[in-house]
Amino acid sequence: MAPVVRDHPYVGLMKTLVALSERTKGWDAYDGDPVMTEALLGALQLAASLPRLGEIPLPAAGLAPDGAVVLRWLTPDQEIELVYRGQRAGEYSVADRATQGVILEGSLRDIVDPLKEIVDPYVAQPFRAQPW
Amino acid sequence: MADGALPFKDGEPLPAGTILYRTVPDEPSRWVREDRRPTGYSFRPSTTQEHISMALGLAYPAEEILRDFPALGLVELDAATLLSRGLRVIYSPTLGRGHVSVYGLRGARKSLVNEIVSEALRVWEPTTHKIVKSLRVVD
Repeated sequence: MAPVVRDHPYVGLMKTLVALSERTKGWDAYDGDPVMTEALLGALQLAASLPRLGEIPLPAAGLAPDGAVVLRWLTPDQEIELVYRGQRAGEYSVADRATQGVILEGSLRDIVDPLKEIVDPYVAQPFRAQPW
Repeated sequence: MADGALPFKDGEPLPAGTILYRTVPDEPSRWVREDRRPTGYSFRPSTTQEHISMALGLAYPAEEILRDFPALGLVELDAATLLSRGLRVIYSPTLGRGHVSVYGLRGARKSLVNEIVSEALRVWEPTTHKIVKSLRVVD
């Protein structure tokens, strides 16, 4: 029997994020920390809000050595990252994909809505204009 | 080269020109598969350490690191890249074979760690160990 409820398009991302909570101290062959719980909640909230932008490419999701959660999108020209260290704490950045030169970086505390201020202008709008 | 024959002593700052290695896991925050390059997160410490760990090439050559950690990639740097940014590079072999402690990266901005990665001399891809960047000729 076919499933009654289809998977949400971002359920894979949600699963990847939740799986980060299984990492234990030293997961990176050095001294990598387990995920910060509040950071994971922040990233999950952002992931849950992505459907508000329609269909956009999924970010890669990973864990920084200090337990922060990293969400990274690659456009043809740029690398966009949101790094969660709490539900509203962390950093954002936009870098040139070829040179890795940072175009924009700042604290998530200094912006109201990362979805509207970072993901929409740097990922969703370019994707809608010319999908990759 | 055996540790006893090395030109550096435990606790000694390492000079420019010293070759250092940092391993890189095949993890989205640390390695960009699409572009076959490491990210700057390999140069940020955990919350429980003030330093990041590297290996002194003279004591732990790249080929041996890759053999010992077959799933990992590797970044090769000249200590000059770190020293020129005000970081402290200290030989600390009591912490492991050829261990080098690099201080000053806690809270480093993305632009700084990206600059460090961009100056890598050689980069080996995780698992395949293919050299995907090479700015240094090795005999």
